Amino acid sequence: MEYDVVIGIEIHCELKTKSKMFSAGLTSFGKQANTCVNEIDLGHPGTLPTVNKEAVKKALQACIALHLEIDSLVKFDRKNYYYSDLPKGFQITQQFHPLGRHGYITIHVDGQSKRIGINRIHMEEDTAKQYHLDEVTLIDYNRAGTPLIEIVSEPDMTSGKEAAAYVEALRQTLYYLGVSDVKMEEGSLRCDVNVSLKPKGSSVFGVKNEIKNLNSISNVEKAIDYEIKRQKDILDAGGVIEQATRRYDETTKTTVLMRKKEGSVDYKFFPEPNILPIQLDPKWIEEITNHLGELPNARKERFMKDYGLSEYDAMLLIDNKELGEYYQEVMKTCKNPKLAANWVIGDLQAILSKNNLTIQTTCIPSVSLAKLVNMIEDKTISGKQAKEVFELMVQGKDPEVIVKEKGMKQVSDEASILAMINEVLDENQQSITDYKNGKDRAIGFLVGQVMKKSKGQANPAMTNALVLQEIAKR
Amino acid sequence: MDNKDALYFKKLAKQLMFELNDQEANEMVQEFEEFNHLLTHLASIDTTGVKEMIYPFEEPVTYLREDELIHVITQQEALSNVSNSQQGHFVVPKVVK
Repeated sequence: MEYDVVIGIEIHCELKTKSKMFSAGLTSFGKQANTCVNEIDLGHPGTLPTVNKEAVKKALQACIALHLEIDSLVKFDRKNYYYSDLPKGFQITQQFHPLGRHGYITIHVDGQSKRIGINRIHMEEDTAKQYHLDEVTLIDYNRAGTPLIEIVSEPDMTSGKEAAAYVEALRQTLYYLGVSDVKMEEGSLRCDVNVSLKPKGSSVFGVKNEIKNLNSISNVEKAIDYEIKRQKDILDAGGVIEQATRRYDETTKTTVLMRKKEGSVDYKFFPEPNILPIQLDPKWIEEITNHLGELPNARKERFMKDYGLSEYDAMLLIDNKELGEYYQEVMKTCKNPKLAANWVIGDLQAILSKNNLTIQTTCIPSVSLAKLVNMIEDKTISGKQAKEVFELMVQGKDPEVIVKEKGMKQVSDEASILAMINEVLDENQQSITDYKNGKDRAIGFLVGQVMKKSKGQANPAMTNALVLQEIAKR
Repeated sequence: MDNKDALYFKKLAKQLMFELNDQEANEMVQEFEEFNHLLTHLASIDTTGVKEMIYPFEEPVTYLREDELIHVITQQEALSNVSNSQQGHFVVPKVVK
């Protein structure tokens, strides 16, 4: 039987603020346990929450960038549940009045664009980190109270690939906005996925399974693809899908049952009485809207328009925000955008990964790479020589100094090249005969001999053309 | 619904990790019954058409806390009410949700 796949995704994203959502406690990652907390984070009696302005600003930035309608009257609600990761016994969230509703993000899969609806974005607080040992549980409240936004998609995705593209597009947008460091491996972006199947064309949704805490984009795709197959096999065999929460097991590459859902938990939501409704200033929202900064898609379009790059190259350059910024710096003094893009995307990235560096820690200043590309462009050095220079640039040397020290300048003087070519041709009569008998490869050999004679400094393109010209004369 | 007897409050106290002796538990049962009785009076009030009041003031506020001043307590202070701690962590019975 054929099925329609229905996928919806909930993302929890930690906001990059100094203090917590409702307290002046320090936000942190990897600090000593329970050293970034205060009385509010620990739920001590008599403490009252206050709302972090920067967290609201960052949540607004996300809403605006993702085209959500904003509710400027901010209200919070209490989600009551009794568990040790929340010392107050409840979580402050926005159940009834999310900050934003009805937005979207555009994803690109297999050359097709698709709009994925975003149902809502709301603000809330993170819970404590727990370590379950054999007998007991250890709790570190450092994370408790960290500002979060929850981004709930519409069930608009139909494959693991689309879901992965959605998470990646969101991740990239949130990173460009600077609202979060979106590190899935550190848990600052966490992903829960709902998957269900229904008979093709049916308007009734099937029973969904939720896969919790996917920690990488590739696992999002793998977990969904597995889950689709699992549900399909059950349905094809005449079975029924039970609503459940599952997790993805990386070793077996399967989804594993965590718990069956027996009715929904009653969290007894009610409006948070300790935080009065807050009216946001429309001028403030307008100011935030006008200063969002450039988003990935806009940057891609600009790179294609201003630098004449292909969509593929532009995509590679926006994938990593800092790499794109580095490229822009290179382009301030560089004459050939395409060549510069090739160097940034190819050689630079390769050498960074080889030396365990990042674009932020690279020892090759953008101005040096621009100089190198310019030297290739104006034929001072050949592409082959450039690779040699580049290897030395990693040690922090200026390319112009390297070229000078190595005496590497490319010979583009026609008379000198011609002299060398004629010497080579005189010495290799057999190759000329071979070429005339249809062995094109002989040209490569002859050019190679000229390059050797010039100690690699002859302009290769020029040498190639002149060798052909001189052979014809013989 | 659990029966709100002394055993119930002792169980609750255990979960909340504080001591409750028999006398205190019995007092709690009594207090709870009295309180419950008072609440039955509320049920007798006709609230048809009355809008719920959540906040003490009708007007929204505009205050948002600046993300600048940091206030944290020391690990020792954070753990000062804890009966059991390990390597700076709170220790509770293992409950995996």
